[in-house]
Amino acid sequence: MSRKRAVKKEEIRLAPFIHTEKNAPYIYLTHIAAMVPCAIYGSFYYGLRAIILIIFCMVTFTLSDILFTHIAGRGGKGEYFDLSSAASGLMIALILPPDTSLITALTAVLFASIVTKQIFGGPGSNLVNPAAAGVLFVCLVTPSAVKGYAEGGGEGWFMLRTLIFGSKSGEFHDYTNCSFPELITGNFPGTIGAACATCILLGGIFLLMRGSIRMYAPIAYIVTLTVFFPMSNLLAKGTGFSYDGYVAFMLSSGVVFVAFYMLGDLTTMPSRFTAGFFAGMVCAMLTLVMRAFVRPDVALLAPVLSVNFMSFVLDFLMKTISRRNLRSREVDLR
Amino acid sequence: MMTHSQIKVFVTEALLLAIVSAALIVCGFLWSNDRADRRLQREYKQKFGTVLAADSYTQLTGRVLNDFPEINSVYRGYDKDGTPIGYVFDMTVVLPSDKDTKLDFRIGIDFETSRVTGLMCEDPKVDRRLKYIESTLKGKQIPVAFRRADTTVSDDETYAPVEGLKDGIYYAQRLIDDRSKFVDYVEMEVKGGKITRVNWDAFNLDMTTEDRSYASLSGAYEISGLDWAVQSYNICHALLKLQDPDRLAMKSDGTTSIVDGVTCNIQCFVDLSKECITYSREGYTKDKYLSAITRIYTETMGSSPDADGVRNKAGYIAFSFEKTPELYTIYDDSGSARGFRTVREIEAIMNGKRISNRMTPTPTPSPEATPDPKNDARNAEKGTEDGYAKNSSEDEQTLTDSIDDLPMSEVATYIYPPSDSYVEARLAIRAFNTGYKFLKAYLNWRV
Repeated sequence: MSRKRAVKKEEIRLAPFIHTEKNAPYIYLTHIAAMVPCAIYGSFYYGLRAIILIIFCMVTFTLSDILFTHIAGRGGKGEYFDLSSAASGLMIALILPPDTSLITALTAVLFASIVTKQIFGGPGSNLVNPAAAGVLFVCLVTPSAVKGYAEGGGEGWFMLRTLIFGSKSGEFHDYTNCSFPELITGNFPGTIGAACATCILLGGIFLLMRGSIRMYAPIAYIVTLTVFFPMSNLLAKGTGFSYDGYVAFMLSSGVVFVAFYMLGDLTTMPSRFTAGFFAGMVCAMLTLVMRAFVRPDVALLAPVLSVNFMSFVLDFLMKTISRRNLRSREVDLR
Repeated sequence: MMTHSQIKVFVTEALLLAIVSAALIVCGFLWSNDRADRRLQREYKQKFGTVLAADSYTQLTGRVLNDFPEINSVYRGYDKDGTPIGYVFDMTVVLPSDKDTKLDFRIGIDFETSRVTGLMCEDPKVDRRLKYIESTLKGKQIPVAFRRADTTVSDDETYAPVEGLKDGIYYAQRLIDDRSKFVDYVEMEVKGGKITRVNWDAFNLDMTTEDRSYASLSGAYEISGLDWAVQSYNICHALLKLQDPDRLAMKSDGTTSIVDGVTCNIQCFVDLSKECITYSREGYTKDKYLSAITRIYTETMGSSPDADGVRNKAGYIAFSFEKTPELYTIYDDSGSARGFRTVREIEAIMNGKRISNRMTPTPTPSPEATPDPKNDARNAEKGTEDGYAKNSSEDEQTLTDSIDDLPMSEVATYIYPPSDSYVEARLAIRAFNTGYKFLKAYLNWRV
């Protein structure tokens, strides 16, 4: 009786009990910082419209999350500073073409925020990458609105009309005509932030240094793309391997961006080495097959969502396999 | 949670990352920009070289583009010295009467003279068919309009003509209007005993409204299927080939299935063509017809058409005799209408003569004449765009007061429409006219 009373007097707190500097706000802050080079690239090449799109997506995503959190009654007491909204909003802007209208961007943001994130429980509970889902949604629903690929440079720096009207002459370019310097610096008509391989690599290195990504899936993804590219080229264009074609594909299609910022994600990708590696391979294979049949942005983003959906199952399976002949505590350490 | 020193390290690293990346981006831009420019110019040359052979191109931007939804992008071409030599338009042109009919064009316009330098359709099949238009228009000034869709017979037709035709120009019009206030007429020319030219059109009782063919091209008169003007052109061409309206195989519902692209009711056309053939056999020419109808109007209404202002610019009587049915209706003994008199017969009755019985046109209102509130509204809206303005000069016989919302007074070039690809040619013409309108707006009327 006295013991029961003693327990009542103590303040009982629930898990987690582990305190680390790498908490959720830190990880999202790192992601935002890693995407800054890509944002600078987009602003430099595409000017005001890119800057407005980036800010617009970040702000609307944050507002949408806040609003939905209040409506759902999940509002906290300020102990958790959520940066996931801004990170997802920034990522949406970076994978949109520069001549995208605000209404298209808003559609992507709302879909990503409400359908893929808030409905599943908010930050950290989403099954799939919200940015990939949002952009894929607008690609499928309004395909012509997400084709505003434009040449960068000074002439269109102050152009704002595409924010309202979108692009009239959007088309997918053939990047095999681009030289290596153009491809590595992103000086070709691409998305706002996923075209400059140099900036993505810089951001990726920053994430690695900060320990905010798992590299199993990205490595498997890049390796699989490299190995199976000739077969994919045969399927898509009827030609075998060509160095120019491979380099152009790797540097222009956005696969580097996907590898670092989407497949390295701690929330939506498998946590175990084997599962992550397998997921990366599957994602690459799907991309290579799909690029022969669907538009490039869909071929890039749809496989990411597919492996996001598979993540939980993959982790579970790998854990079950690892459990054989081992005690549970050892399994967790594998 | 991060400590202050950790935050400092993080911020420093993030700033360093931003600075390094900014430096790399600028250096990369300077390193690759020349190559990117060359690549871009190569792409432009490959894309636009066939319509404007320039040394370099720059894309035009500006708010004025928002007013031209059909224009995807506009480029200015320069020669080696950097002197502007022309414009290239990348357009998706839509047929006003059928929004589903659209084609992607690239057109080239000379910088100084606004003359056509080239035309290319993205669809290779259509592009081949439009070679005639391109060769005709190259070097000609925009804007462009079709001549009246009169058609002339080609030499390889083998159908036997109707017997007894006398050479001359013959004309017949309906004595009552349809429900859109259009009065159909057919004009037919006979040479060497053969029908060599046919034109089916309709003028409006409201003389500020354009003729039906032009109204259909400008989108003010809409029917299902192709433009009415296109269908009229096709059926006239078919009659030239077949030489006899009976060979058009008109069905009981007034349509025909033997002429491609014609889905409208052709009853009126067949009746008026037969009337013209009758007149041709009798030598009752257009002049006589117009004199007779003028007399009929004068004696019926008690004043001349000119005094009442019912004679339109083409010289036709834009009047409906629907309030005097006894004038043109033939009744049987029971008092029921069994047919209708022609102008020739009414004139003969007025002269106290009796002529032999002949075909009796049945003024069945055609389906396309069914009033459409939208159509009526558009007609009313375009009422200020005056209709038919036929001049004596053959070159200007196509005049109406507007095409593609451009006043006809601005049209610089007239061409004959091709017989096999009228719709595509019409879209090409629209592309040039839209380009002209853009240049007017962009250059502040200094075209």
